[in-house]
Amino acid sequence: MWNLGLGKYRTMVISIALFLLFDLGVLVMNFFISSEISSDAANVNIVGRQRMLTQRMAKASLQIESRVIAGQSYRDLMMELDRASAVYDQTLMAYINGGTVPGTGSGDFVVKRIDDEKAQKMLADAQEQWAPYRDAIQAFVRSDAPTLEQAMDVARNSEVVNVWLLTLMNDLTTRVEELAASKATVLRTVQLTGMLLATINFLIIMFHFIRHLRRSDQALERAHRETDDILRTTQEGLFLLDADGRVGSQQSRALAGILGVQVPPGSDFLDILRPLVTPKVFDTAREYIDLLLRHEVREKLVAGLNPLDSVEITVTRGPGMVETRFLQFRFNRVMEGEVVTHLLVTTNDISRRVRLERDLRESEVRAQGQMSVLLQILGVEPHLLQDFLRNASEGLNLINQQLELQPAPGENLLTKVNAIFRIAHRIKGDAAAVGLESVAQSFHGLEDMLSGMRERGDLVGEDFLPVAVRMKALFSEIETIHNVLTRMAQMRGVVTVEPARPKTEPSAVANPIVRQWISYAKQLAERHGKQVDLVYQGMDVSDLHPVQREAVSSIVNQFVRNALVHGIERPEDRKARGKAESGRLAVYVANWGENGIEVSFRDDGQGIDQAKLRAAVVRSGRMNEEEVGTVDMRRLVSFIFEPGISTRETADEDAGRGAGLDAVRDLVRKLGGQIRIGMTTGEYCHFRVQLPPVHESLVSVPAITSQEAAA
Amino acid sequence: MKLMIVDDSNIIRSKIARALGKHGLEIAALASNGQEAVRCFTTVRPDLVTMDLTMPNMDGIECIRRLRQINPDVRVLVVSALADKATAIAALKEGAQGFLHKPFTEDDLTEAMDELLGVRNG
Amino acid sequence: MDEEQLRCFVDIVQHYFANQGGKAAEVGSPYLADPEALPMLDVTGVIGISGARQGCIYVTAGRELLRNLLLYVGETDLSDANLADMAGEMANTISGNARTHFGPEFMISVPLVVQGRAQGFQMPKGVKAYVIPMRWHKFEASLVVSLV
Repeated sequence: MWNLGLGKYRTMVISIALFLLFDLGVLVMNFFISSEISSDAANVNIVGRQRMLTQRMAKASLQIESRVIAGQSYRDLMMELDRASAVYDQTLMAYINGGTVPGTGSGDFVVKRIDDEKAQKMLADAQEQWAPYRDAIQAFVRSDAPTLEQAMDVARNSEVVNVWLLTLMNDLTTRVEELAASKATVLRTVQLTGMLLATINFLIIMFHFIRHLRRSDQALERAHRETDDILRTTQEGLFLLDADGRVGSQQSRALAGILGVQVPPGSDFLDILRPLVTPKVFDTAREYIDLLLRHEVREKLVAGLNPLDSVEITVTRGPGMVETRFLQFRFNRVMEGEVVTHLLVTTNDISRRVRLERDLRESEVRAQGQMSVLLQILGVEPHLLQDFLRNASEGLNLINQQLELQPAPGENLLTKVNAIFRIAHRIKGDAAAVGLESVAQSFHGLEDMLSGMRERGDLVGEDFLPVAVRMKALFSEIETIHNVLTRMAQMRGVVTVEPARPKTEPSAVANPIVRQWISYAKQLAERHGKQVDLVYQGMDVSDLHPVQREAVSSIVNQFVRNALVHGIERPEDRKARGKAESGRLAVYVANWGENGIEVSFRDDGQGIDQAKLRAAVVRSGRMNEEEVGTVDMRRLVSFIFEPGISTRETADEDAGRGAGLDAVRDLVRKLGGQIRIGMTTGEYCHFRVQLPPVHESLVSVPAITSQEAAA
Repeated sequence: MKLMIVDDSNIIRSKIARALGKHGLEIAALASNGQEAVRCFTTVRPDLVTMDLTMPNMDGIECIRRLRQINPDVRVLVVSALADKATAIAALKEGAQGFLHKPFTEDDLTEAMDELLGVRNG
Repeated sequence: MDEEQLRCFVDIVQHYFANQGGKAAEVGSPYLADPEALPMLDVTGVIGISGARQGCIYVTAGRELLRNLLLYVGETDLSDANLADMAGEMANTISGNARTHFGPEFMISVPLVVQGRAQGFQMPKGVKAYVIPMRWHKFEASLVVSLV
């Protein structure tokens, strides 16, 4: 019931109402008691008049007596006596019983019975004294011919009574004054109490409201301070726009810095915007602000149309210095109920973000450029590409090792630059050789960077930062090509790219030559603590021309030996690499008729260890270390067919003297054929030998002797 | 809630219809240009319209103006690939309540539609 | 793009040492390393990055370096907990500074302190990370940045 919408002011209203009520009470009491007091004052006068009347009656009685004696007229005195006694009587009776008496001035005066025991006692005494006196006066006055005796009686009576009455009336006057005085005391007490209550009330109001006011002031101040803090520290430019597009009085400190111009409160935002943006953007911005302020649209659903979401502006910084930056203005409605009263504008410098996005787009363009890399890849011989990739990643790792090697204090970093340069140069050569033009370009870029460093001299570690960044890009470039190749290899599993393999004839596997390969493989495997299975597919070898048969038999034996010695790993190593413990040798021979025959030999061993091969080439004295470091992949692998090159550091009966594959090469050459190698380090090694059809003139070819085979 | 889809692309129409049909709206009409839209509008009386801007036979802005004359309470979502923001703003000033940029995902569309319906629901 | 960011991180670390240790660290030759071969010294402070780029950045240092850094700032309590605090503080500073250098697209996590080689955090897989060796007085530290 108190809830009259007064809210937090309820207490104040109640307090003030109470205050007024006290005041009103005091006023009413004051009025009431004051009127009592004024009537008491009249009482005192009237009681005083009784004393005067007593005197006057006594005086008149005595004068009448002397006039009667002197025989003079006393009519006037008689009338006065009559009048005085009547007033006196009326007054006395009025005080005893209440009634009206003639006032001391004009008009009558209402006298209330005096409710006071003492006063009544006095009045009763007076009445007792008065009654015979009055009767005597009455009798004297009413008689037609008053006698001297009567006059003397009245005079004597008056002499006696007068003293008594005077005394009594004196006492009464005093009493009445006392009563009046006590009322005045009550009045003072009431006034005092009222004032006290009002004061207390006032204090309560004061205390209560000052506390409240202070509290809300503090809250306000705190809020104000927080707003100030926010506006002072936020990195965003914040301000309000009113419905007329004017800038509000509060704004964040960052605003002027972001915009590059001051934004005075009360200024027109569009005036500030106009010089910063193009006319088209300006017009759209004006329309957009109007849309938000005055049209019934969903704020969220139009945010995409904000033309100031990303604007490029040019900011002047000092004389002659300009800076281009990207700003973002966001507009949010400030609502009061259903009405949009303001727009909150948030401004950000998004230059960094925009530039990052731009970089990202550029890198996408670069990625499209990678498509052309893909096309280049398709043009490269697969095994060459494999070799190149292996070489390149090896080279990159070498460069990274160079980087990782921390220089001793004071060491000249140029040696590091030179070492990296040499390796980069070699890979660049390889890339160009296999036809990967874009990769060659990338390494060329690294070379350029290094040349620059070489010229500058006086290098510190930090100068290699761009090299590391470039290296990461090169690693991922090589990796990308590798991934593409892997994908293509997977696709080959689905789509047949190679020519179909010839059907395996049942008799083929049982051929003695094939059985000899199998047992030779098993025998070597046992000797080297390895496990192996040889699988044969293809034509029946016995159908070959004897010359070819001999040659194929020798060649495969050499490959078997090479595979078991160098390629196939020990069972525990294979297991560790996730391969089957038993190695697999896949041999097939196909007769392409006019195109001669093809021998394919594939092992799933570790491939050719290029580092060891380089070392072997150096050991053989064919190249020095520097030369072997820059030699390209194709040339390097060709060394395995050269005499005296073996990656085994110590020779044993099966390998190490570098003979074997060179014998194969010689044999194939004699027969006019070709050898190709494909391999992936850690995965496989694949030899493909093509031999032309045998001409009858060529009757016999010396096969590789068993002694040579064992060499 | 009855929805009318106005777009000159058949693919877009069916994409919107599929997404918003799944979202619980009744697809009341499909129109491929402004004239068709105005004709359908009077008979079907949809509550919601998705509106392309560049169409043959009366463009989207003119169409929105006509539709609002017929029913001022209709909610219109402009769905356009328009790069020119000024034109889109002009369309919104004709009385559309929101704008969705093409290309959009199904989620973009349903979110925009929920936001648009929020006008009515409070 | 990488280079600018790397320089930024190097500068932040340099600045930290110059400010807190009275002398900037010498930056060694930066190199690349696979996730499994990254240097991890005694105490490592890591911050994670998400947003436009993802990954993490860490500073790893030996106890001796941290001890001396503590001594330099006048701290006498050289307990492991305090050393970890120091590394955390370092990562915190890097994270804080990075926040101001990179936009909101570059979200930076609260730093994490790891002791020893315990792998409490994930490096992006299959990505080579930048390792920037540093030397402060004669003590080694490394800044590792791995972002995808």
